[in-house]
Amino acid sequence: MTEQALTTRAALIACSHEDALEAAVREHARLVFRIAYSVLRNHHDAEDATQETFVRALRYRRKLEGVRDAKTWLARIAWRVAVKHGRRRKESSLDEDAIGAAVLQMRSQLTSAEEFTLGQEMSGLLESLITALPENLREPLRLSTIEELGPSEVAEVLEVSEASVRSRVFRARQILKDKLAALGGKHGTAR
Amino acid sequence: MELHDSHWDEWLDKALQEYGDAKPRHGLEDRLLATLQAQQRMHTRRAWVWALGGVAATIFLVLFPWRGLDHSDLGKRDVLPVARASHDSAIDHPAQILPLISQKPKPRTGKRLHPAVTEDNGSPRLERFPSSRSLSAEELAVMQYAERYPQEAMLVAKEQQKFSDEVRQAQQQVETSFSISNE
Repeated sequence: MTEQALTTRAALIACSHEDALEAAVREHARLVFRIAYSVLRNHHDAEDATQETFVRALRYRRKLEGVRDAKTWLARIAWRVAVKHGRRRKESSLDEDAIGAAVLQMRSQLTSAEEFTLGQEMSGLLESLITALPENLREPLRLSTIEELGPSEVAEVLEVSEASVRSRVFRARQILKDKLAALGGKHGTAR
Repeated sequence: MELHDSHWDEWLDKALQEYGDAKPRHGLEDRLLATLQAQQRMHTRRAWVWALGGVAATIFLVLFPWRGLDHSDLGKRDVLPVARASHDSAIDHPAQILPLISQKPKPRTGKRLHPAVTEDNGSPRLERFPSSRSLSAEELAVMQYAERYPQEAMLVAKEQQKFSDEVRQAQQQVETSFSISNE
């Protein structure tokens, strides 16, 4: 192979790496952002984590073409980056009034057919309940709330079996339901 | 108020779906691509700096080979001042040859010699000791004198030997008296 042919081939490879990465950004940026947001619950932090995820992907872009599923590969990087960022995050706690407002909203939505909206208080209550879950239940539940990720992909990100993900999500939901029901009963009788 | 499990499931499905439905600010992809391009430029620049630095270091090493760690060279530098001094002054004062040669070498301190010490009289640096260069006019005259008058030359040599012995004895006496006074 002549020198010119080698140079052309190297340029093509470099272009294909860049094209693959750009395509990955266009296709999976929102998924990566959502994964980061599911852990960090903050837009700025989630965007920082998203950028760091793609910078890491740039560093290992030669692998990108070799991976079987770029989506899962990026999702796994995003998850690790978000968890690393999440360790620095402070947990916020809800006051009694916010919990009361959230429960009131939940009860009205449960008993009527009004359009569902997750208000700020309800979102905060749900977040505090999910944060209180054990880690092995919390992680699959958070990832399963992202609509782009199916149970098999969550399993690959967390490196556990799909059956395990399903059972953990089921248990986490059960705990959430019990806690919400208990809160509903308590605040419903108090008012 | 009794609620069925299906109500809870339905409500929890909706709540979790909305909980995970985060929307990034507009233009996330463009910001990401801009960041990646900047990172790539920085990476390329850094690679060039390293490559040029490597080339420059290689050229420097090839053109200016490092001689500072050559121990044989350091050894020569220690000897040279004595050799040059003896060569220059012994012609005028033959009796001072032996005291100069018998001088005790200074103890090594581990520091490298300053260049000014070795290049004090402007004579060219000797690559080998003793010098391989031809004898000077004075040295030739001394040799001719020794060949022509060997007995006188022998007498001069004996006188020099006696003088050096006396000097050595005097130095020993001085050292002994110093050590006694220190004790």
